[in-house]
Amino acid sequence: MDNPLLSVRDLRVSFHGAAGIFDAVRGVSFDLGREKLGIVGESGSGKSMTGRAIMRLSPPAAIVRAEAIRLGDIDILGASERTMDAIRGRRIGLIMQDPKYSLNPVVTVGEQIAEAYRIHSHSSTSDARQKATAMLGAVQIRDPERVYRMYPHEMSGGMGQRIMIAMMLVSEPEILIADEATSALDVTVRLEILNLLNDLVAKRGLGLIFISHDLNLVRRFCDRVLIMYRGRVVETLKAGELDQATHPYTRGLLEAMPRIHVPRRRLPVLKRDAAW
Amino acid sequence: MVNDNMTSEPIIEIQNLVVTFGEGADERRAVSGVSFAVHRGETFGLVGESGSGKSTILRAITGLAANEADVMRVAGADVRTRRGKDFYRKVQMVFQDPYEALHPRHTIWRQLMEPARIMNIPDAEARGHAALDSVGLSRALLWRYPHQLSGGQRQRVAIARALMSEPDILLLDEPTSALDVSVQAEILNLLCDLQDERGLTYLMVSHDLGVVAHMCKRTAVMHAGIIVETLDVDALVNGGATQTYTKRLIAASEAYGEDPRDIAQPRAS
Repeated sequence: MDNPLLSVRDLRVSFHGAAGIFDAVRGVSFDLGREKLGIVGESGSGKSMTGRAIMRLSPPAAIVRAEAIRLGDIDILGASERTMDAIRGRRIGLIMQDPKYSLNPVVTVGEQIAEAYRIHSHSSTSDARQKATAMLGAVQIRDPERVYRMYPHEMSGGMGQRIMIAMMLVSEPEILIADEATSALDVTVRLEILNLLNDLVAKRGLGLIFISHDLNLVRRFCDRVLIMYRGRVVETLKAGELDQATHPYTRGLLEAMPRIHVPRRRLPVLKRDAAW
Repeated sequence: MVNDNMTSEPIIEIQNLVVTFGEGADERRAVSGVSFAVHRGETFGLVGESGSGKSTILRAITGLAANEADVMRVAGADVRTRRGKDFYRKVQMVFQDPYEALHPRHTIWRQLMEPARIMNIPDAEARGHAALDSVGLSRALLWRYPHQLSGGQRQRVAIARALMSEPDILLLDEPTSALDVSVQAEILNLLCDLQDERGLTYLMVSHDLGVVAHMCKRTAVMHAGIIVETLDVDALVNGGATQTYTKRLIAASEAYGEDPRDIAQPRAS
């Protein structure tokens, strides 16, 4: 890929515990362009750890090594904490699963968005307020002036997730990492949030890393998909060509999903191979 | 999945069920006037989004949520007022998150023996072993604690515990939504096998249309505390829904759900 936004080479994340060394991520490499890149896998596959490592937000106990994690000219692993502060939120945004745990419960949502903007742009309070209100409008919140003054507990799940997206987009990052960002939402709300993300990627030329356990969702929403199993990328495919997956793990996952229109007496069970 | 004899008397019959939370100004109806019937051996689905009242119905049936109803007959008994031990022998529940449903400091064996003791089950040990066998858990796991098991194993323990009283009805509250798809497939297969072996009746709450389509023959679609419509799952997934809300729910599920090409070219299985 020419001039990727982000380039990851041989990323390894391990934990040293009482039971020995556990390798959560075992040599992951990929480039991210202005695209929707899905990372799919089951629990424990290392998909979230990959996302965290890119922002250098791995747990303190984690040992993170890589040949390179490059954001433009910056080597993320070698960057100072100060540089990272300027990257997190400003150049790479992160949206997590549950807005309940990501928002400050005692500050109005508008002020939280404005604060995110002020910190990164050093603008005045009134500028930040204006920008935050406009951002609320951009994520399709009706009556942004009123919502600006509301607290997180007054939000529904879908609204909370829009607030998170607004907060992440207000400083116009180049990359957005969505870690199971729609998994806790009802299908109708999920649809709205995905359409919103889709528009934003198209309009602003963002690179989106979409981490999810949902194969159907990723194959319909993303451009390209990495399939992770036990810390490794076992297969990389165009999202539309997931049906042509050749790795037995990917095939097993696809087969194991109940299908609405193809009734089957029994679901094929995934047989794991130690060699994967 | 088994032969559901629609002419027989329903094993669960509910008319005009109302569940209210809070008092005075805070009063909120979680379920407002719901009626449905489930036949013996059938898997009946309750589909809807969060807050639609589907889980509350299961809780009302077991008496975990105070309720009023014109009719609430389960396994031949009127259960509007008192539910005796006999009720809990016949009706058991399996919850969404098996880690929360199991006692964190009890061994697997004790999780199984406790309900047996409470319900005065005579041959508890034999049943415990049989229950573990039927959910496919090795006896080597007997003395482990829940945190030492995988998510799928924990859900198997929860199902084994529900089987201890040899129930007629299992109330399944999103039994696989906390599990990975590969583990979900194993648990759904297990539930189908148990139904075939024991003629169990399932009342299954789910938000996942794929799971409902796989498991259920009929389903009720819920929204804001009422049943919008009750229909055959075949009709539901093939455009037979008549209500606007149901159509919207299906459209949203399919927008980023199963690939429509799977519909056009069904693969042999």
